[in-house]
Amino acid sequence: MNQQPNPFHAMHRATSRRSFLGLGLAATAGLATASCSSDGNDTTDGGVTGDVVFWHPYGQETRQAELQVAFDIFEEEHPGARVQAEYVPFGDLPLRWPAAQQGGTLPDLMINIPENILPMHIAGVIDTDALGSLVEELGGEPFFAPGFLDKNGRYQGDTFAIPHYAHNRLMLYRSDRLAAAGLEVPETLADVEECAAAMNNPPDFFGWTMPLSQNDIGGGYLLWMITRSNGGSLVDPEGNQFWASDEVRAAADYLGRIASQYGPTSAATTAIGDTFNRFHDGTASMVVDTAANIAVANSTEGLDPELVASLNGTHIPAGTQPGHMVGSVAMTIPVDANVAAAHELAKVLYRPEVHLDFLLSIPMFHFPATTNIDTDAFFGEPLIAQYKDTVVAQTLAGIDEGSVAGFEDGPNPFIGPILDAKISEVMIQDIAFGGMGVDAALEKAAAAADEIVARIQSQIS
Amino acid sequence: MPPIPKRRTATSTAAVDGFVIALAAVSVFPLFWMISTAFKPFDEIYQFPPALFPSQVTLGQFERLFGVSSGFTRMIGNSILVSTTTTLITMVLAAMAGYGLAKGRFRGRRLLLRSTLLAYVFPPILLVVPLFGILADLGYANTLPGLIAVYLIITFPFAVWLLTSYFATLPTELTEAARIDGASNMRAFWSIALPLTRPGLAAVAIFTFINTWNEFLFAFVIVGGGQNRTASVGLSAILRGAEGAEYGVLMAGSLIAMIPIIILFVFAQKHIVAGLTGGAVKG
Amino acid sequence: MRVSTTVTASATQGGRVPAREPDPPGDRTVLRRAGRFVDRHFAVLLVAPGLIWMMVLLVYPVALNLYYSVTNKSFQYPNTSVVGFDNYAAFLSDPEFWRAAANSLIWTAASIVGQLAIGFVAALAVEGLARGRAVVRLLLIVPWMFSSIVLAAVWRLMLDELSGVTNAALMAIGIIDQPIAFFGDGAYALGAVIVMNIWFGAPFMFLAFLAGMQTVSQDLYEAAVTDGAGYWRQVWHITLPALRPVVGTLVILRTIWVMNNLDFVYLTTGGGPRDATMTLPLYAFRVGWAQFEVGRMAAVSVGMMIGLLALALILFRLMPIEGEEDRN
Repeated sequence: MNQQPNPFHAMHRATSRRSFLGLGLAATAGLATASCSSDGNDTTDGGVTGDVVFWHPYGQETRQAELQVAFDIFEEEHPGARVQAEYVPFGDLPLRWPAAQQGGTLPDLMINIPENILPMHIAGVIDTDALGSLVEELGGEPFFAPGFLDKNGRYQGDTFAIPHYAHNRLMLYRSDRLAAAGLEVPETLADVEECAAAMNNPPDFFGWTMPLSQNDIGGGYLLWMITRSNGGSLVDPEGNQFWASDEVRAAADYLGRIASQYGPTSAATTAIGDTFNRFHDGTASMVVDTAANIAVANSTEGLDPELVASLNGTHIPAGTQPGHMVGSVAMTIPVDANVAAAHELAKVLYRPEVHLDFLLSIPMFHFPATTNIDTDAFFGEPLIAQYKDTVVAQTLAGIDEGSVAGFEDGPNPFIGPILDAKISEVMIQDIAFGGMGVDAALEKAAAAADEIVARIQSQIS
Repeated sequence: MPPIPKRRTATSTAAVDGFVIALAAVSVFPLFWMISTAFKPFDEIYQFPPALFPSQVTLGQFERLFGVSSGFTRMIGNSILVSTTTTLITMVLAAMAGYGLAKGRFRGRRLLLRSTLLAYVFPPILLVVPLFGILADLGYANTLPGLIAVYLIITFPFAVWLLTSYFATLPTELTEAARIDGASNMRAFWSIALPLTRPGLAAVAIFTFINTWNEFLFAFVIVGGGQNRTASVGLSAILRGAEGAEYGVLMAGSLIAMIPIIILFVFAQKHIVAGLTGGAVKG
Repeated sequence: MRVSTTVTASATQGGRVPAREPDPPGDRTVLRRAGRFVDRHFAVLLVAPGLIWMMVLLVYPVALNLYYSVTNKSFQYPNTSVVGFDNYAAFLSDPEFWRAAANSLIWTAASIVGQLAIGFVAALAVEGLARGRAVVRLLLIVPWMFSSIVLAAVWRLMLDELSGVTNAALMAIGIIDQPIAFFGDGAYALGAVIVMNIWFGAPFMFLAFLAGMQTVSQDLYEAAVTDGAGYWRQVWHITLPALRPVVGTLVILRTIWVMNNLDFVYLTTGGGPRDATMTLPLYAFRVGWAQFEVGRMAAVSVGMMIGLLALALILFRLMPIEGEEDRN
């Protein structure tokens, strides 16, 4: 492939309008700075002035409060600069950035997931140089968890996303129901199926409630995880797709069977986020979710304390290995950003004490993907200490061994479109609720995946 | 004998009363459910079978809704500003255009009215990104004036249709008489036709206000995620939250956001019927 | 007969309104000329601002999308090239598209018919009420106050399989013994979103019918009674015909709105289960926007636009349009 240098960066038509305006503004700002300096006012800000538009996905009050602390520090240290924070949740970004690109209103610094940022990078709207130099300023490679950047944030040598925090998908279960059924914590695919059967009592509660809504990519995530457990892959970075492989077939069969026998029909309209409600209202005995699920249960008022105490989790069921699916919630810098200010704000956010407070703002919601925090303080937090050997240990194992969905061989431009086309959700539902044979459902899904891969390859070449 | 289908001689029977009561119950129940849910503690929202009324009235959902950083108060303010301004602009422009289309006699008038309505065939999602580009070039990205300017796509065609049909029902003799008295067209429009169109204008105001108040997609893309968010954008963020829809908070927010609409309807609903009828009420 | 001709006739005479003393020179002439110009072209000048505003808002985006539809334009891959009608061929040969088209027709037709039927019956019933009309009218238009987001949220809550009040009620009455996933079960999903849409849209139709009923002269009914016509004959021969002008445009508008509606389905079922509620706007969104493939999305949308235009033109022929008709 003739992609060096990356041809995607060639096009800046939409942003050129703003560059032009920006030039004028920069000139004005430059004059202002110059006149200040001539007054003998020696600021070492390096041009850290103006508005810093910052997109973040943190909705909860407690997390926003910790962000505000960072903003206050930043603004105090750089009196000429002001943070303009905007709440842009994960699901909003794919709608948001194309508009912002057209309008030249991309932020200066943003946090979202690498799966969403990779398309922006391919579209040429990420300033990988600015991000690379930020990594250097932070202390280079050793600042981040070993191998994390390469696996989850670098594409063809360019850094496009650096983790703010990380988490891992787990098999969460109701320990009270498990004990009542006289079963051990499930390790393998077969164990989980047995547990789902034993803890299934419809319509009061179900063995394993899966988020298979076509509004979301929960089914694709599950398919990828179980395929990974079987040692397989969905698609590699060169665009070879493996829907016909034994590993994918086994995963589809497994998920379809369990969804139909031990899950509710409403799985078809259950989104990933609904897993929280389903697990907390007692209708699900098991769900696949992150530690955040239990974290939120512990920080929500009005939940049954006994139910909350019975929530626990282990790794994704293993075939040849557990199919860890890491979540990286990552920072990036778009093109035409106020780079100096973005760097400074990012560095404030990563400061050990600021960062630790953020990580602990909802205990066990965020796990560090950086090496600079006080681990004693982090692991000493009561809830984290309580789940040290189960949820916490398995989350850390996943951050170490796993990758973002579809990024097992590094960032992959094919996985996003394949997941977003909802092929997997429809396939699992076809098997579980549509009475379709596994092979027929796989064939349909493979054809759809082929079409997507072919289209992307025609775009890349 | 069944009632004669005319309200002034209506004589309702038990069957009609019962039917209407059932209809009203189905109509109102979701609103009741929203209110009930907004005041329920978390556990009760998901219990099965659900309780019709909260076992204890809790304000926790409202406290979370108006949490320090939620900005919900501001969103309501933005919504009020946007909806009111859009409504005023729409009323003015639609009244002018409606009068022109109903009473003017220039070529292509019929076609114009029809093509105005056809503006609705364009899917908003296709329009919104290019429009955002234009607004950004003009310096109105992420602003409320930008949103107001664009909302005319939604509000104007319907308002024009409604007012055109309203003006069309005004007896032509009225404006003509004014002309004969030497009044300008402007005076005939302003002092004679417009005052007679009050019910039509009221109906337009209600339609416009409610449509802009509830609009989501344009607001979402055009004002962004910052402090200019409108209430419907804020509610959608709760519905599509990454940690699941917080139905309790969402219902609390929906209730708050619906209050202005409820007030508007209580005071102005009779105008809607009058507005739709035009001046054509007979006998 | 068009009454408005007379007004226009007088409008064109605007310049000849009583001759006054000769215009003084200077600014005032300009002003007066401007005044006369305004008066003469009054109707056009009134129509212009709003329409021009609409044109400004619509022309660029629509033209841009027409262009996109014949390219492989993608937000993600900037190397745009013209691909002719490939995008059109792609969706026309996609069985999913035709399934979505069929769903869209069912969704639109059933919603509109349902809204009309409920709206009409409700209007008749309310007209028949001896008292409490104002209150009932207010109660019956409550659904109209719901935004799509609130609508979807409340209905999701009420129709939920595991905690929904609808299932609880149906089970209590004994109609069903197992809860139903109304939005999640392929057998019910399309019906459920249609019922939701009828609930939402009927009030608007109800008001329109109610308004239309006010325009019928009482004398007609009295004459009919004298002729010995029963209630339903009066409804059929007097009430219904009188409603056509009001309802005609509303049906056209509603058809376009419902056909183009993305939110209701997106927020409740997301097009599922297994594409059972996949409608055309959602299809366009999925193959296009969700993949950043703007060209494909534009092509599907242009296709939809052409279909809607054709449908609207047919409806315009079938239905009289209010405001274009002589109402005397």
